[in-house]
Amino acid sequence: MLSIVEKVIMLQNIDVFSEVPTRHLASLAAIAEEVEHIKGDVIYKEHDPSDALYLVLEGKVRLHRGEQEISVAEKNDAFGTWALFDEEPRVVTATSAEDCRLLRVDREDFIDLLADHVQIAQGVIKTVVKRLRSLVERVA
Amino acid sequence: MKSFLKSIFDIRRGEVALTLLMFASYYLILVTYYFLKPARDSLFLTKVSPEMLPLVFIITAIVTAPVVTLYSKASRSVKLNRLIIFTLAIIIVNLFVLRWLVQISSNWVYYLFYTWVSIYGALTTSQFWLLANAVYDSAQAKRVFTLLGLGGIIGAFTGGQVTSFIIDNLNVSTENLLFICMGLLAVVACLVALIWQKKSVSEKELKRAFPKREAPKEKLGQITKTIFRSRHLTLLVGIIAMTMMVASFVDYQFKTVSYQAFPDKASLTSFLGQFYSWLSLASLVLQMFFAYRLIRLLGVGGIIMFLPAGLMLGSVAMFVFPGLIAGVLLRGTDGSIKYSLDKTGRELLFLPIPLEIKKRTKIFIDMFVDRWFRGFAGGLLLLCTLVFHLTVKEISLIVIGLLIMWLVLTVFMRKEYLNSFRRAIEKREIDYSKLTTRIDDRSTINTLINSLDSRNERQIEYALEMLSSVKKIDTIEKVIAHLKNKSAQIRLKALKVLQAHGDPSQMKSVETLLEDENIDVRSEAMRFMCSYAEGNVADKLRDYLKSDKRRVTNAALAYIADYGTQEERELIDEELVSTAMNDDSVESELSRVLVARVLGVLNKPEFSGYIETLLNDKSLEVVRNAIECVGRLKRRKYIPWLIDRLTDRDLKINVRDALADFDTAILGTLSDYLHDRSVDYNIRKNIPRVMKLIPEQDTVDALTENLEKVEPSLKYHVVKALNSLRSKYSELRFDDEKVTHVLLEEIKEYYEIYLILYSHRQFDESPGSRLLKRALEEKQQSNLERIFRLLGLVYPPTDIFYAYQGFVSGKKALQANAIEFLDNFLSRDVKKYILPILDDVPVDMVLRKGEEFFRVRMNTREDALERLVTGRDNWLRCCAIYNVSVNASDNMKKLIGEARKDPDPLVSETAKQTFARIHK
Repeated sequence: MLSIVEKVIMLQNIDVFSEVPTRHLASLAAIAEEVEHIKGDVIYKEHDPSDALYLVLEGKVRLHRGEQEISVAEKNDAFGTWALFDEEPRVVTATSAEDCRLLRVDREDFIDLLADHVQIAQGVIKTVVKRLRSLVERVA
Repeated sequence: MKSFLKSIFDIRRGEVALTLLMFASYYLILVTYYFLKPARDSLFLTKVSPEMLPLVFIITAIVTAPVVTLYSKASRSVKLNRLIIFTLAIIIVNLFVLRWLVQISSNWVYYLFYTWVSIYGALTTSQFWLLANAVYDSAQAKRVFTLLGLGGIIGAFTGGQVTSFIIDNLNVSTENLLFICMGLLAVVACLVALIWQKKSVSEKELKRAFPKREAPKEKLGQITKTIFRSRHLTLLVGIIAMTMMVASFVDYQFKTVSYQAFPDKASLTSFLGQFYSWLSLASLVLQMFFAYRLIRLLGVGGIIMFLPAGLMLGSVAMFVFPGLIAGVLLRGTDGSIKYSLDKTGRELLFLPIPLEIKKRTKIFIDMFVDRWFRGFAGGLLLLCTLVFHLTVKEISLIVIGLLIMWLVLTVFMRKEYLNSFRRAIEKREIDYSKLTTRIDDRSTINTLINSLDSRNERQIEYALEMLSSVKKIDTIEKVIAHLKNKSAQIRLKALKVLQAHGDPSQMKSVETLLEDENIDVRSEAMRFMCSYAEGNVADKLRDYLKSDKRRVTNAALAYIADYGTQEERELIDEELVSTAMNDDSVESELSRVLVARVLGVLNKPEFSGYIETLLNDKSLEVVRNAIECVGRLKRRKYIPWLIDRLTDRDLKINVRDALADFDTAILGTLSDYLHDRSVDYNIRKNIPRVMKLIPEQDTVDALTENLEKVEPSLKYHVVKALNSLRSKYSELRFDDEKVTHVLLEEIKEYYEIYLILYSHRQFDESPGSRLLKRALEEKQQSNLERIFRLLGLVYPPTDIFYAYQGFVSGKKALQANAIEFLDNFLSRDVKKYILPILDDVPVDMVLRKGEEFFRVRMNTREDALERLVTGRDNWLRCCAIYNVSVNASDNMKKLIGEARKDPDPLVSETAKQTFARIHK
């Protein structure tokens, strides 16, 4: 079982949280739970409601649309990230390619957390703005 | 006539004494000015010469602006009452010195006197209006300022008449008028002290409603760009420039012909006294009896042509029959129209300009346009008189030329004004709440009325809002049609316009709105019914309260909560409250909300039990209103209940406001909570947010006191609250010594982190080590922010903010500018500590400075880690504990062992994990 500090070490690698101060990531870590899946488990299906973000602690997860593989999430990779901010249904299916251990951040818990930790929201917005800016610069 | 008088004397309960004092002050200020003005002119003309008038115009133009600027700067940092009384004391001393100097009878004294009186006029008038703006809010200003202006005009008339009477009949010399002024100004100082006493009753509300903000610092080039980018503003500035130039020429012509007609000092003073006095009266008559009608008839475009057209006639007369009569006609036209019709017209021209741009343009006009063009006119006049030796008659031709340009500008302005106004309505750029002028111009009103046909709901709302400040609307039908609009906001605003325009014939249409689905509409409809009801209003209202229609009863309750008088509030009884509380209709929730609102204005102990019930209601809206009610009633027994809900996401905003309503009386309790570590941290974090809503010196003192007591993570919130108070309320004082003490502690901490980071300079690549490095850097960053925030409490906050922005921008040039600025700006005692950490100096030097200033020293990496493990920052403790290795010293292992029992769950969890790892 991971401690809060260890979860923070994992969470800080997720792009969307890269600008969130680590001490606030500790609050996020507190709501992140470890889940285990055996090989072949469907973690979520395409068109399911988006309800959580996942980070691979151990193992591999296949992200696919029908039989068409989109990508494979490996150790330290996050998937389903935008589920935290977007209510649109899932666009891919996530299936564990081998036995795996994941860190799961529930959307509802995350929204509750944002309300009390404005710094997390600030950090996320900072990342989004950075992305937007680099996109604009690229287009310009 | 009744509405006309009401527009001048619409003084409400609680405003009478204050307004009388304000009226008397302005009256006396103008009396003294009209004593001094004829004295100034006649002394200069008889002792120096009319030919030298242009020179004194130039001197006045140069000297006035810096004095007024200095004064307005001082007004931002010194309490207004003190500033005014202090200025009046200086003026009295100046008058005494001037009276003594006049005996020397040297030419420079008369230059000095002339310039001084001109500055006196500008300064005393502007400080009076500063006071008036501080005393009244914008809604009061709309009603009261006309009356105050009237006081000034009567003062000017009395001043001129009395001057003439004293000189002609009492054998007092012109110079001795100065003694009378000194006495009158002493009375004004006493009146100001009294006004401030009266005002202080509502000062807190005033502070909350109108926090002072620092004027934006903008370069002249930027303002000029803004002006020239707008055709409207360019024309406006052009017209004002022409007004200034022509005024100087006309003044010169008038004074020269006056001197030629009355070469003797006493007769000249008496004549000028009479002239200025009648001029004020003419201005008053024009303003009171003609301005409104003419604006309605001719519109803004027509009204701004009055002055140049009148002056054109006067100038032609001066050219054909140069002499005193033409001079009186010319200067009379200028003086009477400029301060009545033309002034109103110019104010209306500013109407379509967004408030921020308007402020900046006004500053530009006062600071530059006025000064440059008066000075320029003075220079031109000097050329005409001293070089070309032009006569008054010949100068008329130049004036006629200028007037033609002026008239052309007004023609363009006329068109542009309506275009700008239409655009402003479309973009909703006019801030209705801050308008202090009424819209009377027919074309403007028609533009607003036409906007009511728009498909855009927000535009209709906006036009209705503006229309509620219009004196008279001829075509009210379009407003009435909106009583049935599907938007509740529009129905509400249409009702407000009807209310303002008092049209009892609409009772029937309004009565149906008593059952409107929207409660605000119902309340406003009830207000209309009560305002225009015949017979006893209380009886009518009682009937509505007892109505068997729940909607109507609720309309009456809402009206009482929003607008009810004491007598009307007395109609609320136990039975009514109980019925509303037990209402089980579809309006049940609203009924309880209204009970909460009504109880908030009632303050009757017998209803206390209901407040408790309402606070625990299942409906959030009811609880919110009950919280507001507690704040209004200042019931102390609910303070713990409120504080417990400071973290409630749905209620915290209402809770903060309610706690702030207790005012300074709650500061002690809030401070206790703030440094009580047994209270939930999230609640404590919210306490400074409540405190900053009480903009008082006691709050600043309490927060400063707490700066030294609270832990670092809370310190940030305390400093933030102080920053907010500092930037909004410049009159609050901050204890430099205490703030500097905390600042030095922060700087010391910065040096410590710097050293710890340095001792870990060879961070290994383990995830724990990287996390510690990042946490330390973040800590350093927030530490730096606190340092700048604390600097902002001692030095001007805006400057410090820009320096901080520059420093954290990451851009070398901006960083260098920020450091350069701080180097010049900070006191030596502060900058010697700060600059080494900001400037690009070698690491060794920073470390040396840290040791020299604060004895910050760490020998090994283990030392640094130990410092963190035993520190006060729990997150850094966790990161440090996580990094302790198997090879750690015994002392460190002991510390980890102790940390397992730490009250902070995060620290104890990490310590347990590390302890297990290092003892494997």
